[in-house]
Amino acid sequence: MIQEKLVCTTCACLCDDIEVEIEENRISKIRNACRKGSSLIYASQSDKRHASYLIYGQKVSQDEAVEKTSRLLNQAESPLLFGFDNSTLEAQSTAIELAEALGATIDDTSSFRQGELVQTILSNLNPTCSLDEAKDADLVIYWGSNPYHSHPRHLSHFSYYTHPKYEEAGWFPESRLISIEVRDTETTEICDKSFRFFRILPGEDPDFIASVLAIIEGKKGREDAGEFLKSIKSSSFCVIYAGPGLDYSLDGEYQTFNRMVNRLGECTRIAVIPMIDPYNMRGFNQLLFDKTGFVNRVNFANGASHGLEFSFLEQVRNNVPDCILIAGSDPLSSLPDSLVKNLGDITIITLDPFLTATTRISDVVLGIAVSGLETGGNAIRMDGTEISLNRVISTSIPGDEEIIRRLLDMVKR
Amino acid sequence: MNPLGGEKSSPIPIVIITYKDLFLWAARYKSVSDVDYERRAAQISLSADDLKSLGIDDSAQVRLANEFGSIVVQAKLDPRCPKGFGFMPRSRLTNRLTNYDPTRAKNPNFKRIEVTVEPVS
Repeated sequence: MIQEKLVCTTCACLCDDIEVEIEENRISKIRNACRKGSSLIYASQSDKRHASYLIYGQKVSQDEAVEKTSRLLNQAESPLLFGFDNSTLEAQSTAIELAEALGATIDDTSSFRQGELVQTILSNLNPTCSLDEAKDADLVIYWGSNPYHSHPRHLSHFSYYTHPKYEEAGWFPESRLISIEVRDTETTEICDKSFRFFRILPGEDPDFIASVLAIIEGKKGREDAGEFLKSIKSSSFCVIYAGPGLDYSLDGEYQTFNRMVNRLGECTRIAVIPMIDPYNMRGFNQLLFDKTGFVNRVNFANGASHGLEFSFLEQVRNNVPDCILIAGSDPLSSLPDSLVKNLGDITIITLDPFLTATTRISDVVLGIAVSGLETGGNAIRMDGTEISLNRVISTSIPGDEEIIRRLLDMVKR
Repeated sequence: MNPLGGEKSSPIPIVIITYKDLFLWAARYKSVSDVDYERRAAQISLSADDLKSLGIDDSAQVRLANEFGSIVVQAKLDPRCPKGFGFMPRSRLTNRLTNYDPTRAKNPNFKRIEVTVEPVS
């Protein structure tokens, strides 16, 4: 039996304290992982869940699947590369090169989930900090996020419970917790009684933010916005963990939110950290931003163009691509049926460690190793910190970087 | 007559808000079969007022429908739920009711799905 430590790649927390026991190249025990993390690790042990190499549903060799994929991509007039949020930085970087070589459009799930917020952080329009620094925050705010379900170890490993002066009895806590939500949740239940949570009905966030700004400017505003402002003013370091609830409510329009955060920054130290779900969405956003100035929705047909028309949603809605390479994403399970029905007329190639609804309709499936378990690499955590992933299980299945590198070499030829 | 003592009513409009559910997520990976996933996905939390308007008890089956599709799920009484809203874990089931319309929003309407709900007899 061998004991190993690994980084969990289930979500963008990238918890680096997971301990496993390995017997005969299989994980027999897991320590410290949450329910999501342990489910993913155990799923990777199941041969029935693993995707293999398929062309039109028939098992083929790895070489045949890769060659078929390169032919389909080369023949495509309007190829789209989508996903890569569950890929290593090395695979993402190669995928961006592949998109350039093909003159393709490239996009990821941040295009319909928090991409605009990450863009504001990378453009220095919102202050941020690392999760290590955030442990000192005496006011923790979860806005449109219930970490109990989305990031189960966030509270205990990175935020509220990790404050250096946190007292378990909680009678005189040095750190306080606020939740801004549409209803009571497991997180709102642990908020301090005197600060509790702010119930914002769906779509009310812009009104709430406008009210906070109005009160800062000496005008009248909502009573709850006044209480919220008072809480922030009484803190010395406040971290806002911004979740998808806020993103959907603002519909990706962060200008007023940015203005509010920057005005609040005049009263106290404040930082915003996005509660990102896929383990390396932030990595994809960072790499594409470094190359083009944009975190997603980029087309390389004539240099690098950016626009809403290059989002996966718009591309599929308008039937633009004739071939889509999807990596580590399952749009068939996560997007409206009324939209993904359009995928039926498009050639689909999927790279995924697991069998999913999308692999089932794919023309070509390329099974890949699970990052952080069967293949190593690097990734960027939700706060922008780069984390190294270990390989703890030996497998002959290649990682996505190797497959995408082979495709890039073939396309260049 | 319904179990709560009122007359059986016609379909009522509600807005569904989807959310990520830890147990549903785990069920998707933990089990090779889809049975557990589908059972956990086929639930909607509703307020006591809305259950009363529908003339149904906790755990009754209801049909949710809009122009994009129709699904049958189990209604769960949730005192935390505001009247007029229903909460469902985001899943392949809710995808049948969601839509992407860029003239209304940049994102699909995962957090604001307008449906009618009616009891399934």
